[in-house]
Amino acid sequence: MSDLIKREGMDLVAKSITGWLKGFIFLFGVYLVLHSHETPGGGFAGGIIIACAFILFTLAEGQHAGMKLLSKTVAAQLASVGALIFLAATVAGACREGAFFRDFLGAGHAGIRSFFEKNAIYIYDLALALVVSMLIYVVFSVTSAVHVTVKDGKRRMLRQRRS
Amino acid sequence: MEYALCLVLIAIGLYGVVVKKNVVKIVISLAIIEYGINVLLVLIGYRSGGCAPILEQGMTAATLAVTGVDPLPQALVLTAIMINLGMLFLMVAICIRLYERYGTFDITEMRRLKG
Amino acid sequence: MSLFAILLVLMIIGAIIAIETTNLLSSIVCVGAVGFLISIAFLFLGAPDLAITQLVVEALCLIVLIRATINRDLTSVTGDREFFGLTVTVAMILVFLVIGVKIFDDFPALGQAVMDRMANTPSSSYLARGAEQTGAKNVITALILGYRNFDALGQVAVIFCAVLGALAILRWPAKKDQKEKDSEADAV
Repeated sequence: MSDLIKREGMDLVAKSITGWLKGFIFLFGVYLVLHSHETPGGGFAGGIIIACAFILFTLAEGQHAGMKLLSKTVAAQLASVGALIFLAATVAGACREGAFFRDFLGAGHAGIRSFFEKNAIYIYDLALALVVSMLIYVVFSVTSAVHVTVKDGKRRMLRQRRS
Repeated sequence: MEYALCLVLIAIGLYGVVVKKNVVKIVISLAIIEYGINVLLVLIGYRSGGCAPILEQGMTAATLAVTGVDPLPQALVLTAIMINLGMLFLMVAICIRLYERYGTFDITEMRRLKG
Repeated sequence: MSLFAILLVLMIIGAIIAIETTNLLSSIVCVGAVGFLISIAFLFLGAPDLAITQLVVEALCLIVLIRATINRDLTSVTGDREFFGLTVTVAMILVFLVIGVKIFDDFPALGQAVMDRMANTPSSSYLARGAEQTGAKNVITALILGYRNFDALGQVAVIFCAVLGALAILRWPAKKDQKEKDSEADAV
């Protein structure tokens, strides 16, 4: 009995279904990010779905397993890297084309371009997805990690300021 | 008619923000205001019988310019949804801290917040 | 009644239940229902991008709100604030509603886009030339990440600020609390 209580997360059904589903959810998010130029979706929706894959794992397997998969520090660093990529693409447009946010890869490539052709939108999109997914994962892990319950249901001040 | 219903949704949210005592109810009311505004903006850009502003197979840009709905409000609303998500995270964090400190969600008991 | 009016009426019912119910958990669930109805409305309004984003954001909001309020005071805080302020605010909201409805009488009817009434609006030029100029078939992606990229940059900054604020607020244990606890322990 005590083993059951010690074990973190939800029950066996939720854990095994999560084990099946989390990869597919992650892949769907990546698909939405990579195909944002021709299907609905894009960096925001794809990024949140990627974050949802991690959040599902954390909810089902418990806080420690989730932190072991992707720790808060690493997620925050990845988000910062995404923001830096965004800024670098911006500055690269300024350096190569003479104006901020100008398409620094696709100069002279007019017309519709697919993923493997040159277009700076993909770089912006990937950076945006990285930022959004990692930041949402960080915030979720922070808001769900704090477990504070007030004993006996009494309303009382937890901290009295001495003045 | 639809615009007026959107305004009713916004007014309901405003009522909740001003009148309710529970902090989480206030957060929920702000979310309802956001929903009303988003739907209002997208409704203004709607064109009856219009298709989504995506260039599909076998469709030229000229036909899209005649049949597509207005993409500008949609881009604005997409930004607004994400910013509201960040705002909601911030408000939830503040709610958790307030509950820790005061032991209740009731804003009338949070005396130290009064200026 | 059009489809959108029916959806909006359902949303209004959900919003009223969400605000007026006493149990916090059912109120959160009602807000989720409103969000999913909005997702359906976006789908019929020709905005699949928004529908996907709203769907996912709504699920995330539900998770975060429920995790934040579960194990806490769910039902004991009920009732409204004092009577005088209540009547004044309700009167103000009614005035807002009446003025708003008056203003929206002047708007074009639903289904007549503003860009049809004028020549050379930015919206019509985005639709006509967006795919060719930016290389993306999805005009909304072309708008957000092509024409109005500054918007996306500002949005990244806003989300970063919000998350940093949440992290700073929820730092556990907070440094000040920890110090006071230490000093209390010393005193004991």
